[in-house]
Amino acid sequence: MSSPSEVPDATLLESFRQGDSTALDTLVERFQGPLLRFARGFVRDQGAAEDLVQETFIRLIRNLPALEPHGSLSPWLYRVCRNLAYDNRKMETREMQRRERVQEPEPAPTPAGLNEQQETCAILRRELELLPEREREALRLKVDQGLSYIQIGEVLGVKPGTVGWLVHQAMNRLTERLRAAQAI
Amino acid sequence: MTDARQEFDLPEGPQGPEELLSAYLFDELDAADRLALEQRLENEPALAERLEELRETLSLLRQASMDAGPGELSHARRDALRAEAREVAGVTADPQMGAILAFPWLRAAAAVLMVSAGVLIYTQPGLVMPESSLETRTASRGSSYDDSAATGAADSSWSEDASLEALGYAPSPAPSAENESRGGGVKGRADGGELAELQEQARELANILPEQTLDDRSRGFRDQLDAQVKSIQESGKLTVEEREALTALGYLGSADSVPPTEAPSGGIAGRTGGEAGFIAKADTGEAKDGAKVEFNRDAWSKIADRESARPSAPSAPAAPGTPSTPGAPAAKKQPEEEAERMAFRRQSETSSNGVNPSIDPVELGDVALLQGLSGGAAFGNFGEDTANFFQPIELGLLTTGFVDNFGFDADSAAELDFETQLGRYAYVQDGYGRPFHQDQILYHLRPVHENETPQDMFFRYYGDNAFVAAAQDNMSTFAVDVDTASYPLARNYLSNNMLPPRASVRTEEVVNYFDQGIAAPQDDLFTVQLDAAETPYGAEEGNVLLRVGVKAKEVSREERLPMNLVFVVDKSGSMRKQDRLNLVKRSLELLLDQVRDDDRIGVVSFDTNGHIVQESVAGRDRWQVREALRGLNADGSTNAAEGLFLGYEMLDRNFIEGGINRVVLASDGVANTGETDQQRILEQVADFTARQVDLTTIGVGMGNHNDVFLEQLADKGNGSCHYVDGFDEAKRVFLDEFAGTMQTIARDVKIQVEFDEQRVTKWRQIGYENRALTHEQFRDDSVDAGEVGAGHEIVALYELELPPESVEPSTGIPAPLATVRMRWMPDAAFVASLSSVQKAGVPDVEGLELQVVERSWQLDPNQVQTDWTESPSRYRLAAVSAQYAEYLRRSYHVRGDSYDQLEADASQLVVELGEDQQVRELRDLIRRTRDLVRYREPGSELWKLIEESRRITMLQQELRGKKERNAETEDLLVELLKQNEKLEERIREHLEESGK
Repeated sequence: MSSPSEVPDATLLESFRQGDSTALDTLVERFQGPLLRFARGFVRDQGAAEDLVQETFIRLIRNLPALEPHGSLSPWLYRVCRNLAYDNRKMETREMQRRERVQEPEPAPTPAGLNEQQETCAILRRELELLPEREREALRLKVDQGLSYIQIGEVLGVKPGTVGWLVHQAMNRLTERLRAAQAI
Repeated sequence: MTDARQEFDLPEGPQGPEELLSAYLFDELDAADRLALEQRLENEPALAERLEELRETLSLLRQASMDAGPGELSHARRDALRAEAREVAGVTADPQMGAILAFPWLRAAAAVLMVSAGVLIYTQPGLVMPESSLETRTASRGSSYDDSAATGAADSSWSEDASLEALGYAPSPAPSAENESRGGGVKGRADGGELAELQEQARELANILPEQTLDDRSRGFRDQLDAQVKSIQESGKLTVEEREALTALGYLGSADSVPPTEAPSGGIAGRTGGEAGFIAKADTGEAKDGAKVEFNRDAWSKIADRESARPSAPSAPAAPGTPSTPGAPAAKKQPEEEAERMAFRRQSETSSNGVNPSIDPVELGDVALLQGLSGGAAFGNFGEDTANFFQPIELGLLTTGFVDNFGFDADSAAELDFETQLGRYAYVQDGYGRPFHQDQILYHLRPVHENETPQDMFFRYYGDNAFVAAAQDNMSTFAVDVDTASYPLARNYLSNNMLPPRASVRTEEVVNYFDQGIAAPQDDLFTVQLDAAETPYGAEEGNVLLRVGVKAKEVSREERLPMNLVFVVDKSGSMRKQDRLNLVKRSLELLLDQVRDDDRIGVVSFDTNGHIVQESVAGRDRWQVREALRGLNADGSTNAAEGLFLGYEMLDRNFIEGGINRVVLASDGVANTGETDQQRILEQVADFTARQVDLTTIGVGMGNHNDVFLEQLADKGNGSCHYVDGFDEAKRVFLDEFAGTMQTIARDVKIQVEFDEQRVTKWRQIGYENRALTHEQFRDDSVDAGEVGAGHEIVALYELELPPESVEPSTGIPAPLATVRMRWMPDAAFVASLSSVQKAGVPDVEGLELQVVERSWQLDPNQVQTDWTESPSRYRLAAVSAQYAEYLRRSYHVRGDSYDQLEADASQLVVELGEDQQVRELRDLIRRTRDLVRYREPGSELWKLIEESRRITMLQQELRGKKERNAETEDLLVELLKQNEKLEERIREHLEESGK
């Protein structure tokens, strides 16, 4: 997803490997924003998201010698970030499930006094949270990160066709919900 | 790909029209499909309508995703990443610095090198034995080996037993198995049977994950050290000290500086005479003899050579004028440790020229390591030691926070406790030329995690208080210490089959750990109870043990002041080990249960940076804190300073005037990012403490529980330091003694004991070595002293030597034997709460007005009981725990005392106080210690079992500490666990057998 004028990821990686520390800075600048947005899909607060992203970059640094991206580095980064998020989550799974059980049946109250658009956004966000994990991930990678189906497939470890199906399922569900809420 | 994922994959094939719509929206269709779809859309209005809906959803989605949080990492994180890059990839502008920065080891090595240089210079005068005398000793030792090896007779000089016996430890039997293993090397091993099998399994496991074995790390360290030396040589920029150190070590030729043979012989003897020794620095410089530590071959190749397939470690660059090195590492092929040792001994025997060829000349790594150990920052703490023949030498590495120190007496190398790093075997010779073998396997010198300094245990040994003649000084003044951290820490060591480093044992903390059975005062803040009896542990028969027992007023949950608490939780990478973070979380949850609705609580965590995890909330919303705690995961490095600072700031924002304002810091102690200068952190804390903000520190984890740091921090921060080694201990600290932990009732509490010169000839205080004050400071209220919490008990013990009978004039009332004065400043907020809440309940509370209070108590001579067994149980418990602590400290004063007596007394206490689990536990630990001392017979079956068990434990810890863990790792861990259980079982059997 780099624009043509940008130095390709692979080139930056190579200069980084050669000892050019500015290459790392460029890479971090390039990917921190998208990664942070991505990470926030997994964790509750900004700090935890930053933790994830920082650790993702640390992994990048540590795996430098072995890393050979064909094109964009982003699928690799997203995958690492996602794995880290899951690793973290594994420890809390039981607790999370319990919490989710408690929270799920309770529909988020629609805050009064919000304008229609804010309200729609609130509904949408809640519905996003209620999507099956995998569908939500695929959708976020598509919408927020603008990855191609192929790249998303790399991140999630599935075939592009499956990505298409996941994305569409997500879109479908959301549309249905929004329609039910008369938001569209 | 996991199965789950594959299951999810759909067969590629024709897609349904709706799916095509999404793909169309996202521009994922190839040209043909797109064209086909667009045609359909024109003809099918329903489909087109659906597309518009989807499009609308998408635009809403895009809007929703716009207003997210900041899209940048903080500067601190960016910096941390750059640092990481430097560490791992060696990315830096300066290639030479890069080489150093690339490996934390190397930095340490560099530091060590500097230190060695310093030490070598330092040790030159006075401390160094003439080389010839070294050789003589070696020769004589060689012959002693000769005898034992030839005859197969028990060799008591070989082990520590002689000295241990002198210490009162039970002599260990010299089992025939041991002789066999000495005589037969490999054969002895075969006898192991099941053990050998287990060992083999463990080795296999270790080999599956070669990068996780120590051998590689060890070799890596050595390689880096060599590289470092080379680079220093090549750069040609050497300070005089470096040059001399390198020359001394044989790295530089004689042209560069002093010829090796003339170099200070401590570190150098090894190079020239084949005697791998060095002189450790003694603090005062008065020591007549230094102790000499030899490394039999270096630790690294020793370990590495066991895996003979691998190439041997590179030897040091040869320098002109340096003797060639006999017995190069590669020559050693014996895979077995016993064989190694055997070879060492045999070569000692056959050595005809007075030179011991089996001890390879020291290579830089060896000496650097040992010198490093000797060059610690922890030096110079032995001022109190007075006995001439007691020449403590402290070895301990320092600066980079590397190692633990370990001390030993020059006249008794049995004291030596190699809690160090890489040394597989070190041969130690004391100042009188007596050799000792040390069997501690040293696993620790490695980074906990790539960007963290190696785990270390860093204790400071303060020496033992000596006897003081009452005629010279009849007063003892000290600041109280309510900490108990030292005991659980020791317990943790012992449960891992290790004797705690002597410096980690603080006698007063061990004694304070136990319930003293003193009734709480009703109408004052403190009460003091004095007990004395003739003690069986005294230096002389008839000596009296005085217990000064202080008990602070108790405060119930309802009575205590409202609290404003901030937890500052270390969640750095090392906290992942041994479940430390979870223990902390559970501990703090216990603490939450004690929180009242009118309290305030918040959570800050720190790793590479500090984070606000949960802004301070009211006690009734404590569930939020609970949730926040659950979300913590361990990662990153340790920036304690930033965490503390955030914690203090949060506390400040919610300051409860007249309440308890306290930071609770939970950490394994080793700050390594941000402000790591402990003094500076302590200074920052000191600013806050002036504003009545208190600090409690909770230490977790044994590997790098940085004892001095946390203790000092709590000390400076007006609080207490606890070591939590498990959930039971957490309960003790946070449930049973919560009020005391949280509610300070008095500050700057000092005690002064004055002995009657006529009735006491000599006295010594047991413990409180680092809490002593000058007598003038007692009434100097500007001097900071200890804080005491509600319900706390404080015990001070004195051993008194009384004059022979009939000094007492029989007329009149006997003058007091001792007068105890106590001075304190009542805690302002606490007193305020007392006067308002309990006005009716507390009649005319004297001394609760806000000014310094001083009271005194006296011990009459006729209060001294002559029959030890008749003295109160809890008094004897204090005596037994103190005696035990003194053993663990290898105190000079316990020499010659009977361990049997100690054990018998402990058993008797269990009979009397059996309902107190802590008493039982103490008894068990006393027994375990005896067993552990006994096991130290190197080569014995038990020794082998325990060593193996330790190795597995260490391996487990390494695996657990690994960032990437997969199913295989988990399986391995289970496997190792099983093995260890088997070993433990066998160890138990052995101990029971030998106990009979």
